[in-house]
Amino acid sequence: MLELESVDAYYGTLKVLDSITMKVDKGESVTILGPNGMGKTTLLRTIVGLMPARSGRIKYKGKDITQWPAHRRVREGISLVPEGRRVFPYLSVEKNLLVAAGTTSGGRREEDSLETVYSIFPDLKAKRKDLAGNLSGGQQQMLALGRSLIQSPSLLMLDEPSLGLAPIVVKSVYQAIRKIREGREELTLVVVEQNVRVALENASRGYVMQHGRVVAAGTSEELMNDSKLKERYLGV
Amino acid sequence: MLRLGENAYWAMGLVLLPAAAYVAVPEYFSVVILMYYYAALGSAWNILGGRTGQLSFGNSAFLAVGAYTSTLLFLDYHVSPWVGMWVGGALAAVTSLLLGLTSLRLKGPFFVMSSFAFVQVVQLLLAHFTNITNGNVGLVLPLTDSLADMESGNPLFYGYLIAGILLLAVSVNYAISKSKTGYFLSAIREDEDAAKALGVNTARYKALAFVTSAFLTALIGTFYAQYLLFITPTATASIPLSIQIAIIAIVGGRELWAPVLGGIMLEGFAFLVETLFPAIPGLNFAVYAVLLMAVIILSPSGVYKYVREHI
Repeated sequence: MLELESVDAYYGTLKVLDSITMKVDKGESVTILGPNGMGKTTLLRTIVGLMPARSGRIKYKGKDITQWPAHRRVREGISLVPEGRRVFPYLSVEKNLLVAAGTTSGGRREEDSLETVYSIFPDLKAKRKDLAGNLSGGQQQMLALGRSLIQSPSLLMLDEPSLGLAPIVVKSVYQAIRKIREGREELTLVVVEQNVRVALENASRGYVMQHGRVVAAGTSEELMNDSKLKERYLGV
Repeated sequence: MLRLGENAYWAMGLVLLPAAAYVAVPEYFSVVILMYYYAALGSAWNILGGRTGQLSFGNSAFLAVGAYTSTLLFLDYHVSPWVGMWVGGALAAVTSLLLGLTSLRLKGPFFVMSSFAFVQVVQLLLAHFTNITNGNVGLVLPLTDSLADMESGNPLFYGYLIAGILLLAVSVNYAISKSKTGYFLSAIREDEDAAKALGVNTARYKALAFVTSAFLTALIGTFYAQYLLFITPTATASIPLSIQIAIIAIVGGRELWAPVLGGIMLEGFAFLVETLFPAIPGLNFAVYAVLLMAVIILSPSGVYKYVREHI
């Protein structure tokens, strides 16, 4: 599904991704862990095409997409829920969804896809005429999820979906993520998280990043039980 | 009973006003024409500056492209301005596309500065190539009063010519606002990076907004040339005019009729100030400044929205 081969990325002269190699299979749920500023967000931005890879290769569904612009990657089924949600604050909830639907729909009926999103997030339906900026943090996260969901992605990437949310809201966000996965066995999920316990509970495998490199990888169980690793990189 | 919406009232008002003014206050008819002229410029600007959020102070350069193209085609090749105005529009579209390829990569203040530079460059080019443009002396169009030459002895003709262009600019704004393109443009304005992450081809849609805005502005340029029958580089490709266009749209707002309200209002104020204080030239710019500050403090999203919400 997704393969990265020694991918490097830079901010100016600062190397933020250092020879990243990873492989995610179709239908897997993978988490990327590590403290702040270690390149996790940059990694997702590089995969979706917002940040160029200076060297290395990114393959998606067997195709080399390293040079593709972001809009082409999204059309082919890669969708990112960005860090901090980034809803369009002065557009209505529904328009937020329609912007996302518009880049991928290819003439499919937008009404149907709206209803699919509303059936998973009934709160959004009730607030569909409201400005997105007036929603609570949790609702905005649901909208950000809905925006990606309406694109019917094959690869869904979430950047810190629990950031800045109360524990009870975090719980409902992950409930929604599980709901999205139900009946979509083909959907591949890559989640960046700082909340290690929540992340590993909801993923089958994980990678740990430190200073732009992958320093550890394994199944959720292996990572959970590796006390040295937890102490050194994850601070739990 | 036929129920009319706001759009119908505006359109009807704009169509009736020139005739009414012509009958009632013919000595002030030129004020109506100027109101429409600025409203049209604001409406064309709104596509790029309002909807897409790319603050441009360069639109008067496209006014110059339109005015000079149709005028030179008429003077040198006897091409009617009715044809020349579309050629000018096309040329402005191509120019803005080439400029946009580079300048639209700039963000915030850097884009603003590039737009200032562009106006200055166009003005200098027009002033420099005297063998073609007659330099700073300007070009004079012959007075023919022939409709075939887009001229008439009856001022109503110019009133309806600019009303037609204004309604075209508003219609284009309307079509955009109802389309997928409109959603994408507002997403770019709100959060360009997030729009890109959702798969909006931001470079393409920004260029589309730029080209459309430039095209419409160039059409207004031909009107300007035909109305005054005299154009110069400094009267067309001018930084003060560019700022004025942006102020009209910022004071008005970015809703469909907001720049129209802004244009009518600002020209109305300018006319009042000039009539009441004829001895102080340039006072209208001070009035603009005060209005702009008042709007920013009282209703940052424009006068139109304020009026809709409070009256």
